[in-house]
Amino acid sequence: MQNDHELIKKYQNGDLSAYDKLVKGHLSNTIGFFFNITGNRMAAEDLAQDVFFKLYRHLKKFRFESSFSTYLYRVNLNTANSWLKRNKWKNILHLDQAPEKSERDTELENEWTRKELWDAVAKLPNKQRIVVIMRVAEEMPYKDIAEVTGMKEGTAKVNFHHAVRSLKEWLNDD
Amino acid sequence: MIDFEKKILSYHSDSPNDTNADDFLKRLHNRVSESKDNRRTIITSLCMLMVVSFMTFTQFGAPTNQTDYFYNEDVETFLETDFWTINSDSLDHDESYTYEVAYFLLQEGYLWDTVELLDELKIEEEIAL
Repeated sequence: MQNDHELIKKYQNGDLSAYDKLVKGHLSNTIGFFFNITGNRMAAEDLAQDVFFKLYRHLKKFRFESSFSTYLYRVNLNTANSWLKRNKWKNILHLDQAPEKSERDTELENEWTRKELWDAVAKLPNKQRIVVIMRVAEEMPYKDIAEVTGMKEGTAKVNFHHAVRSLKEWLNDD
Repeated sequence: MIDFEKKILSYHSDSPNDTNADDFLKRLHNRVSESKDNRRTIITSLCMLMVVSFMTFTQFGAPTNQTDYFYNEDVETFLETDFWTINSDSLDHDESYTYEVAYFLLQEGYLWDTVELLDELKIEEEIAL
């Protein structure tokens, strides 16, 4: 089994099958990450397509300064962030539409739905939003969040704490 | 607060395993090739636009020779009765014409005719004075 950096090197040398192997290796995690945010498999696959499409273009300039996983987390994070912001505007512009129930929302009928949670997350300040995405969607420890985002571990904890307090207030959770 | 935090974190779910990686890759490659085609079209369009703009700016292919307008600025010789000729003396023009005729006669070898013409001119000048 070849590691990510070897596959990237091969891809940079023109071997497209190496890129396919790389995608296959990280596809499940990437779709899982987006599935936790969107709650919709199709939307998660579309976002994963966006991520790997971006990687197809930018991986040729990959400088091997960090692990591919960290790089991929960053791309995932940016894509999720953009999606949440885009959705926030959609919600503002389509106020008359009833919120769509996602595949897992039926489990939580009497509580706030996944959509409500992520709509609330979209309203958070950028740093807090990033930490929440990584904690909730990826179950990342603070140490890894700090590595991916470049912030200190303590800062990540504080941001998450503030985010949780805001979310609790907005979702009227007693 | 802690309960709420746990509730949020419990929202994590396992990724769906039924994704067909080959289908995903096929769609990805289609998208990549579409993007390449689009990029090629855009680059070609931009090149064409630049060439057309350059040719328009430099007027490439346009004839360089300007249209010549032939007209006689010296209207006095044609329209001697017009008001332009009021301040000019028609004798000046006659004199030059007569001298030219005299040179012509000399070149042609009509010596006596030339002398006669010059005499005539002299007489005319005296009359005019």
